[in-house]
Amino acid sequence: MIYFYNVSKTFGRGAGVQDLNFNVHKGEFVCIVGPSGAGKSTILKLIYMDEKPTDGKVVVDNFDSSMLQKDGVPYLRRRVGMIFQDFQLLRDRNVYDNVALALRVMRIRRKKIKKRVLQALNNVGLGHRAQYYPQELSGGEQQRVSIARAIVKEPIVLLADEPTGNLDPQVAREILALLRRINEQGTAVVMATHNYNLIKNTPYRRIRLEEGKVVDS
Amino acid sequence: MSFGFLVKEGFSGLSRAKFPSFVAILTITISLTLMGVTYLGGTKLVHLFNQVRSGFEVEIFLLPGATEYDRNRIEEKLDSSELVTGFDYISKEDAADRFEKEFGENIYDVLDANPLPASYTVRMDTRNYDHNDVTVIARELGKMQGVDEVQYKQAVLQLLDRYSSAVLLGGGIILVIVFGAAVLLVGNTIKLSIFAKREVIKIMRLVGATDLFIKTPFIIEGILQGILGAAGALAVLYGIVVGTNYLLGSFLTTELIMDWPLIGGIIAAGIIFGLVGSARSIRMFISQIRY
Repeated sequence: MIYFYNVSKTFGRGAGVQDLNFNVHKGEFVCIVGPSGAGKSTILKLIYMDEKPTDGKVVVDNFDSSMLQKDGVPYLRRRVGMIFQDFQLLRDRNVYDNVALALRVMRIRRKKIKKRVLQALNNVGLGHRAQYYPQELSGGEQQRVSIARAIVKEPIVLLADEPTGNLDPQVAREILALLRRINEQGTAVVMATHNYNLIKNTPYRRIRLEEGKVVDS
Repeated sequence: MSFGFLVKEGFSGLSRAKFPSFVAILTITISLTLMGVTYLGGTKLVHLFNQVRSGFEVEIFLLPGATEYDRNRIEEKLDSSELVTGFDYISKEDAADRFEKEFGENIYDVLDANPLPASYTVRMDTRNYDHNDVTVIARELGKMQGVDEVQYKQAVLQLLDRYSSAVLLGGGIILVIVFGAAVLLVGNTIKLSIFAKREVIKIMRLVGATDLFIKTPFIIEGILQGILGAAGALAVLYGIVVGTNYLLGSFLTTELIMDWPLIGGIIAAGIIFGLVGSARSIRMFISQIRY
């Protein structure tokens, strides 16, 4: 489903990733671990095609980085959900509208949007918070909203970039449990984290990165 | 479809950047008002010019010895000219009658004889001609047998020629300046609006919005500014028209009116200002925001 073929990405300042070869299969849960600056975020950016490989190619679903034009990227993004350490929620609109945005950009009918947004919010345990604004919620709740926004479009994969980085350990475990549940519902998850303790007791495949290279997978 | 959502986003941009929006709308109002005044003044002047030009008079004074044959030749010449719309023959006696009407005294009582020459008063429609065309025909007439002198107000025609082009040129310059200022200011407001909404744009990109979807609210915002500016300008122009007619009505040959070309033109220009201004900023700034 996700394929990296001899992928290298170099930036002006030298950091990046080198010669990556790996796949992520349908419904799989993969953790990318490594210290800060190892290239974890770069891998995720290559998957949601915010960056294009300098060498090699990335294929996600039917989208091939070597063929994809700029105007094709939005259609890839509709198949891929993303969450971040800093949640990336809009403070000027409530939880419902934050989640609904992901469907509005796809020009889905309002009635359908309502149904799917409420389903997604219930799925992350925030059905009762739809009218709240992000700043009225705890960090853990905000991350749940961003997860709801990522899954409401029913993506094939959920990309999580340090999703627990801003959360205390108990809340971090809850978020991880939520990601596991989403994975069990059939969505693949690719999670980048430098917090090895968080995932050491999980059965998931790990891709260990150091200085842009895979050292263990 | 989510067109309602896009329009709502467009309106929200307007209310978010209240002051810059207000400045842009005000600029459009001022620009369009200037354009409207230029149009009103210009059409009025052109109307006035045309009145003078369409009823331009040339006088041909005949020699005392001019014969019937000479007059026939002159009349043939006048009939064949495209400039001439009509002419009257004024005999020596007619001229004497006119003298009496204008001065209240009989010329024979004053001078014992009638020195007034017979003449033609020729009416010309010079709207589509310049003063050189009139000079040419006047010169030709002057050389004809039986003609003593051809008189007309050449200076008036020259002035009209010169100022018609000045009016057009002035109007054009005002238009260009006004357009440039309005487009820059609308562009600036939209730039601020884009800056204020960069988070939304980033997240829209993140969740898979197409460029068109992201840009549409800003285009709508620009058009809204244009329409509001146009509405302001129409209100001001209406005030100017009513005020001018009230104060100067007795001096004007025809009243000023808000005609449909003016109203339609102002609205269209407002929309174009908004559209061009926003398109410019969108092209320059939206692509810089990425995810």
